[in-house]
Formats: sequence, C-alpha cells, structure tokens
Amino acid sequence: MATIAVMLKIEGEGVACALRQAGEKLDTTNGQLVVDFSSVGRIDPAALAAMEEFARLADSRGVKLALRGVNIEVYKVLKLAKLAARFSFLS
Amino acid sequence: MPQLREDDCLSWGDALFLYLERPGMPLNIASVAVFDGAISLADCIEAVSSKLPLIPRFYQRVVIPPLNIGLPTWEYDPEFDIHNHIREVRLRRGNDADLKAAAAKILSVTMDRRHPLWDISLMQGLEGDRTALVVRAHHCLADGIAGVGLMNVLMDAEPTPIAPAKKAPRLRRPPRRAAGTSPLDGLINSYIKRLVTMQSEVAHLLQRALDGSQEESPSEAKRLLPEFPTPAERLPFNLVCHGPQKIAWGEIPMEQIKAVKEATGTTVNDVMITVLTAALRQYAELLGAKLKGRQLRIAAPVNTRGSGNPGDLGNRISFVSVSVPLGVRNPRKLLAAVRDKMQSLKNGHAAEFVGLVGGFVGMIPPALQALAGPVVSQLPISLCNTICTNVPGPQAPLYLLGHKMLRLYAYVPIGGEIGLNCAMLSYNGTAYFGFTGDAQAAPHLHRLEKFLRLSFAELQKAIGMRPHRPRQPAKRKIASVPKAVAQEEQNVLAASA
Repeated sequence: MATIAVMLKIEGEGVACALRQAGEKLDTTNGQLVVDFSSVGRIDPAALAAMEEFARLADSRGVKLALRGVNIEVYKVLKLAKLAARFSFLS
Repeated sequence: MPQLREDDCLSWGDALFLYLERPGMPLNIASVAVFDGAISLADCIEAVSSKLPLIPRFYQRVVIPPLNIGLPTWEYDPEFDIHNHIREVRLRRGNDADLKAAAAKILSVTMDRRHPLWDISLMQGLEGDRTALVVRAHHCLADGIAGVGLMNVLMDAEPTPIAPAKKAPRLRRPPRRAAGTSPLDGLINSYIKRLVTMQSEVAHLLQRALDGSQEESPSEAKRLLPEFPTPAERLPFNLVCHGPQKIAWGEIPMEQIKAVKEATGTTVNDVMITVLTAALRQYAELLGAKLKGRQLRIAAPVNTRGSGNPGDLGNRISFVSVSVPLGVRNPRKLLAAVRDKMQSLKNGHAAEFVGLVGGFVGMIPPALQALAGPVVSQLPISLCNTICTNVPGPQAPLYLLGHKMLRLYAYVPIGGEIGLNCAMLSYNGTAYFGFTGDAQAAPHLHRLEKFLRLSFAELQKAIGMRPHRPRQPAKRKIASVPKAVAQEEQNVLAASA
C-alpha cells in the first residue's frame, strides 16, 4: 500500500465536529491520515466518542491514524479510554 | 479467550503506587467538587453510567500475579456494579467544616482491590443548596493530570447535558497467559524497554552535562545533582503518618496571581510556591519550629517528556525538589528567591536525573518492591518536607446534570514522614489549594487557610498592590488555638519524634 499522509488540523474545542468531517476524508485516503491536535487542550465526552468512531472507521478502511502535537492531558485520557493504542503519536 | 495485550499490564511506575500503599495510608488522587443545587443519587448514577463506557479502564480491576512475580494486570471486573462505586453521604451540619471532615474520612480509607479502583461519594445536605462530589481514583490508575482529563469527560462543558451514544463494553473474560510464562507476562518486555530507554537517557544527560561544562560555567554540571539524595531537615509536620487524614482548603483568584506575576516578572508557579512557602512558614512557627536559616524542601512532580514522544508520557513523571529559605520574611525577597531557584532547576535538568534514578528503582523485581513497599513507606526518612502539585484545570465552567461546578479542590496523598502536602489546581479563574495533613503530624491544619490568605495579602502589599479580599467561608470562625491545647499537642509531637 502506498503511504500517502493526509494532514488535517483540528481547531480548539470543535473536536467532535471536525472528526466527523475528517471521517469523510477516510474514503479518499490511501495510507496514513495525520491529524494535528496541537490546538486541542481538552477532550470532552462528545470528542472522546467521536475519536473512537473515527478510529473504528479508519480501521475498517485500512487507514493508519497518527495524531500530532497531542498534549499530555489528552494523551492520558486516550490511555484511560484504551484508545491510545489505536493511534500513533507524532511530536 | 483473548490474549494478554501490552496495555493490559500496569507499568512499573503505576504498580509502585500499589506496593507503597498500606492500610490507613491510601495512595489515591482525588478531588472535592462543589455544585450548585441538589443532585440525587439516582441522577448521579445515571449521569456517570452514561459516560462510563467512554472510559473502559473504569470497568477493570487490578489483578496481582501470584507471589507478585511479574507486573499486575488490568482485567474486567466480572462483578462490576456501579452501586459499588457511587455512594451517598448525608452531612450532619452541612457547613464547609462538615464537608471537609466527611471528605477527609473518605480519603483516609484505602479502596477495595477486588473492584475497579475508583469511586464517587455524593455529599448531600450541604448548606446554600449545594451538593459536593468526592471523586477518588487510585494513583496506579491516574495521576493529577489524568484526573483533570477525567473530570472533563465525566462532566459537561454546557449546562445542557449531552449523553454520548455508546453502550457499556461487553465484559470479556480475563486475558489468557501463555503456558509456562504466565508469572512473567509483560515483565521481560518491560525490562528490555526500560534498559533501552535508560541507556539513551544516560547518554542524553551526559551529553548535556558535557555541553554545559563547555559552554557555560562548571556549576552547570553540579546542577545535575538534585538535592534529593540527602534527607531534608525535618519540620514539625515531618512525622511518620499514622492517619487519619485531615484536609484544608484555600483559594486565590487567578487574575490576582497573574497581576503579581506581571508586576514582578515571575511566573504563576513562582507566585503560588512563594505564597505556599510563606503559609507553611507561619504554620511551622505555630507548631513551635525555629526557622532561622532553615530551608523548606518542596518536591514537585514534573513531566520529563513534555516535548518528547507522547507515546511514553504515561509513566514519565519525575520530581524536582525546590529548597526555599524559610527565614526570608520579606515577601518580595522570598518571591525572588523562589524565581531564581525554579529557574536554576529548569536549567539544571534535575527532573531528568531524578527520573533516571526512578528508572533504576523500577528495575527492582516487582516481588521485592511489593515486599519492601509498605516498609519503605513507613521509614523515618524525609527526602523532602512536603509534596506540592500544580495542575492547570479547566478554565471554563463544568456542569453535572446542568448543575454548575462552583469549586474544585484537589487532593494529594501523604505518607512516610511527609505529613503535610498541597495540591494546587486552577479552575474557572480561581487557584484552589488543597492541603492534606496527618492528624498527628499536622494538627490545626485549618490554620493554613488563614495563613495562605495572609501570605498572599502580604505579597500584594509588598509590591504595592491592593491586598486580595477573599470570600470568607460560610459561618466559620477561625479561632486561635487555646494555649493548653497547643501545649498538649506539642507534648504529643515531642513524644512521637
């Protein structure tokens, strides 16, 4: 499979909404999708649910997901949610 | 039957919190959150239940391998029942002192290890039409930063609650261990990873030390050696903790802390540490300490992988120790001393060094750690006088079932000879200080609330600002300690020393 990285940047609070839109990109992504989380300071319930759905969609389409610039609080929540293993992390 | 995955094992750092815990001296993180309005137990259970599927770890208990050979694992609790985790407590008088006493009682007790290590106590009957939650999670499950993240998930950012559409996970059977290697699951992999990591960290630190000695002064290399290896000079509250615990709270508006920071060219953390030091000085004096020429050694947890690989952040927490002079009574000079000290620690990579030492501790086999942990946690050795955490919390209001969270006090555990600790947490524009004290080592803990207010007011005055006029606790009079009582407690302290 060709590894073509598609970059997406999530802005601040609208994580759930942005990830739903990003989900549409999964159909046209062949390889890896890099999502920039450097502007995301916190994860609320809706965002966490959206991340799980996003990871499930990516799995089903064979797309690898990478998160860039995740802050430590968000990372720790992903770990407790057992979602951390479904993403790779880029600094 | 599912195979054991890497994230089914606790890390050595997380497991250490289990080994160090002993009855009456729990190692939990916790917070007390006060909400407006009344919240019923049934509604609280329903609200938390709706969010729980987002945090599968909260359905899992810790399973210790036979004879502690190998790392503990996370396994789904086959008897999981939300009613084991959310309880109701009715306050007798309902004032803040009553809330603190009831919360301290809850926080003094270790959790039942047969079930997932978290719980929520719904404190009913709080005056002023308010309700409080005491939220606990074992330190092996989450630290202060993760705790703030959890609050963001369990609460709502809007007054109108949004229930996530997700069902509870099917509680799968415990993972299967490969025949013949079952007691060592995860351990060998963990050791190899740790060795590789430590090798690169040693090389990195040596490189920085060499760079420093070439480009800067030779004293840079000395800064790599933190003060931790030598015992701290004891203060009155450095007695072996026997419980029960007590708690006290303070609060300062962030706006005013930032104003001091701006006026003095320091940081928010510098200002908070300065105010805490001044408050602890007054408290130590209250307990009869002579402080001329003495230092207060504060241990502060720091993340040593802030800009590194986020995949490793979970257990890369280290400590820096900050020794600040207790004899400096001029608040402006004290702030300058704290600023210089913090700056020198940032330059000196002490946290990385201590983290490395922690890495070596992690190399001790779990069986030995489990045996030694409860003993070590009672040894009369003080590597610091107090532990102080400072975690930035949500800066917008959070809600539970539409009820606004009014206040949020964090809790940090005590243990060993460290009988008084402080958790600082900012929430919605206010810095909250949560003091935890051992009843014997830190008597009259509530006096710290007044000392904190006075210390900040003195600092503001010293830099020409109008002192902060705090909100007074409802119907609470801070009485002076009767001389007879003070003398009696001094005698108890002397006898215990």
